[in-house]
Amino acid sequence: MTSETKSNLARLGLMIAVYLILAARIPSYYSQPGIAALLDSAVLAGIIAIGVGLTMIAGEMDLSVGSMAAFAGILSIQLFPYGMVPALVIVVLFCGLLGALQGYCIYKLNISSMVFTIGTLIALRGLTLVVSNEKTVLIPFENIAETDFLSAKFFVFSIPSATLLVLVLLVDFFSRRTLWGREIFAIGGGRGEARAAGVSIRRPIIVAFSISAALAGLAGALLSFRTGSASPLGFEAVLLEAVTACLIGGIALAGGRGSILGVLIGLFTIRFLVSGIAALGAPFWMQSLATGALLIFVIIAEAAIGYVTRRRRMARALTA
Amino acid sequence: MKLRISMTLAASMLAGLMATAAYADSKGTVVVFVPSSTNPYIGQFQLGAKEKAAELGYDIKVIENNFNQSEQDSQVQQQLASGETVAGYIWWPFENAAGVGSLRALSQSGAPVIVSNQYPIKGTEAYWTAYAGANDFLSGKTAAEILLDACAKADAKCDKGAIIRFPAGVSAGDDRATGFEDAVKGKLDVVDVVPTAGFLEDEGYKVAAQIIPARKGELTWLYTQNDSLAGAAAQAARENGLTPGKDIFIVGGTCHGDSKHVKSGEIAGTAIQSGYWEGWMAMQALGKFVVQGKVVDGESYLEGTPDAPPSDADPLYKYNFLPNPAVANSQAAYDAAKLWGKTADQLCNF
Amino acid sequence: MTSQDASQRAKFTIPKTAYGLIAILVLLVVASVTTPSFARVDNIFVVIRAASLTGIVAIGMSYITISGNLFALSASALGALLAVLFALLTAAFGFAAGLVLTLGLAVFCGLAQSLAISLIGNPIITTLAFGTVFRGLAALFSGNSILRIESEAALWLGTARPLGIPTQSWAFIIAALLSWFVIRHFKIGREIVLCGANPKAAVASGLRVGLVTAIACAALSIGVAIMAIMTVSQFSQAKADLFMGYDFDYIAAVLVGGIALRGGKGTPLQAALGAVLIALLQNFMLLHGLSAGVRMTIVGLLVIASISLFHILQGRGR
Repeated sequence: MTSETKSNLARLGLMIAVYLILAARIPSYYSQPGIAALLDSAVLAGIIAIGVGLTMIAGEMDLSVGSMAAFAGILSIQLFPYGMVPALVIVVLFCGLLGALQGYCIYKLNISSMVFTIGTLIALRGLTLVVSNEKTVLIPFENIAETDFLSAKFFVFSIPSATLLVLVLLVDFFSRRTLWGREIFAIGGGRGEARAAGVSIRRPIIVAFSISAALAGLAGALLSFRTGSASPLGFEAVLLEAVTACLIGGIALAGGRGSILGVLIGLFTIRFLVSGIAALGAPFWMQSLATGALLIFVIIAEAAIGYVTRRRRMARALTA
Repeated sequence: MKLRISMTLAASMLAGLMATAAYADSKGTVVVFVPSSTNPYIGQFQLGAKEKAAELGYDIKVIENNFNQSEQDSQVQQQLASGETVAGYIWWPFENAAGVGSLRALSQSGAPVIVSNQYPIKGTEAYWTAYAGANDFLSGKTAAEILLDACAKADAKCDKGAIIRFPAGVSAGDDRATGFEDAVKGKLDVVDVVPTAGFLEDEGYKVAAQIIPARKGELTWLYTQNDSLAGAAAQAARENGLTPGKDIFIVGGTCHGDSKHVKSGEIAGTAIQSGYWEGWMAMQALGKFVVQGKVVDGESYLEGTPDAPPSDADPLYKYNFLPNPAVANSQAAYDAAKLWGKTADQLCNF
Repeated sequence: MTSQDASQRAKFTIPKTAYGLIAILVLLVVASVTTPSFARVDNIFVVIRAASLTGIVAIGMSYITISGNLFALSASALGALLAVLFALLTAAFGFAAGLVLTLGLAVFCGLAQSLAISLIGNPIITTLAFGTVFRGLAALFSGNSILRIESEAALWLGTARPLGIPTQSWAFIIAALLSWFVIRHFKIGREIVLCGANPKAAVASGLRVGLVTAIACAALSIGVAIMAIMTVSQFSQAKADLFMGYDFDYIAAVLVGGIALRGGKGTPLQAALGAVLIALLQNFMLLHGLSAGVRMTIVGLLVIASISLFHILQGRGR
């Protein structure tokens, strides 16, 4: 068993523990519609976390995803009269293009993406306010039933939650089994070494940021269609939730380590915790404290395990 | 040390979870969806709803979101999926228009849905049983009346002025501004509408301290949408050598936690908008519907009587508005002001 | 890179500050030509007052950045917590004790974070986690109500104008000069710069990396405490939802000031200038009546443009 598998199993254990503790108190945690609702609640942060996770694996971080999702939400509702599928395709492509442009700038300037995307985070939010005329936009009420199929459940899955799971599998496969995906890992692991080995920096950076923006756009559009509306101020909190999901899921901020499947585990750990505390009727500060405590617990545990493994390896090297 | 902190946190959290579990036999559970009680007004709303629910014999469960509509949407999904039979829902959407999808889902469950705080959007009438809560248009109108009154009494110039409004995109800000502008049309001249970055004093001060000096001599009044922003604007005016109430008239129109500027006369007056009574009347509306089984079409402005709250036997209308009784800007007037048996001090200084 | 050429580079930071000054001057000229009410002296004071509190936090944040710890995401939540604590302590023990205890608690929160950063090795994750805890604690301690204080001394601190200049602006100017002086002329200041320039070499050459992180975190916490105390004092009250969503404002000021995120470069003075530049632009747009959306877009573009420009000027590579 590789250490990566071991660490993912430990995270899975944590997720299951959180689930069981709360399921003991909340009956809907093990009913079919309850599980479907839990899956649905993970769609927004989940789809976005895949993209953010990918940029983190590349040793970068896309902070602009929340603004990008809000921008996509407004655009998709405004394009609704042309049909939902064309609107979705246009919005996702446009966001992907913006992301590619962002990736290109980051590559070309050779600038830290965390700096650059703070700028786009602010500018895109402003742009969203401008295109929405500072008002929430709505699908006409007579058409709102047309979006019902997005909430319909097949067993425990809805179209959005099935999309999330399929995307996780696809991107996981992409990142580990294709050349373009492995390049993303390579430049995250060590940029100097990657460059020396002849890996181009340009393509993986552009690809990672383009996917991240396209997925943020997809999440924003899907969620806005499902609720039949989009607010220019929406999706502000999703960045922190997505990043937290990535961190609990074992993606190292330094890059090169982690997996998209891990992100899914981290995501559901958070969702189980936050939805559960809210469903029990506890005030918000408890959700806030619990999330913070969980994150601190995970990172301290990681640091401790890392320390022990290093010690043991050193001891083994000495005795050998 | 970290570990001990997180263990203490975990322990206190568990204790909290246990505490919420004890339900007694009752007429059923009412589920309330609200933004976070980190905001004291929402804390008051919850308190009012809880006390009325206890009086009527209902259990109550409050589900908070951190000012996040997508989180609130998923909480609704989660609640509906629980299959729990509930006596009804109280729905305070964080983002009014963006919450329509969830409102519709709640209505499809068959339980009565009382919308509160956010004036429902036209066309959504089929999705809710009744509205019981504040009226932001009315709040803007009341503010305008207070201001016009102050202008008429004082023998000062009163024409051009500005609105310092809630952040761009916040619908309560749109509604209050509309209510105010409709009421002052032809009487006052609105030269500027500037949004703040938030609802509290520091944000209000930031905007007021910039536009007052830049338009000194031009601005004769300011409407700020709540008293927190108004108090900050009064401070900024004073720092620029303007005496509020003489050189410039400032009105917030809803009391919001700090009455000292009203009592001192710096703000032209205020109106009681009580989070406590808003939560209380939302719960009362639900109770009325369960007992009476019907909703009368039309609007009802509940009477702002000083002593007793309205009776549970009154009919339930489609729209039931919380009264916004105006309070004059003096210590005496403030001390005398009461709504439904609670003093302005109790209702405003939470 | 050796620590030697890092210190040589640090000597070139003065011209970088000059770029910020030039940008401010250009904006001033353009603004005063196009906006009559802008050029008045009192409006300049207004702009500095508007930049003050954000600026004080940005100065603290610049210590984090210069020391090579990128940035902290817990500043706004810590601000809310300290505001609530200051109000509670002042109500219980009086203004002076409240002030001292709040500053002490701020330093404690800073040291706790620096300890965790040293242990975990990542400032962003650590401060992300601490931020959610701080906000939760603020709500818990405030009991979801508005905490009022009645203290003449606090009111003076919040509203007085010695020599016609608001106390907040005094604090801003003093904080900027003091923190610049510490970075330039104290041994620990040079260590902060060297640690940021090359953390690995810093360990090897016996620099006190742990101490540097602790000082940087404490500096930010003190900046945040000053903002919280000033705000509570000005309005005589505190709430748990203060400063919500301000984190990126502080970071934007640091970035617009041209402090390189990779650390080891720049001075706190640049963060102060960055805050003033943003406030200047905001004021200019406010007086022109631009909508909130347009203003936000332009500030975002300013951040992108200035970081790109500084990045190119400082030589490429991260």
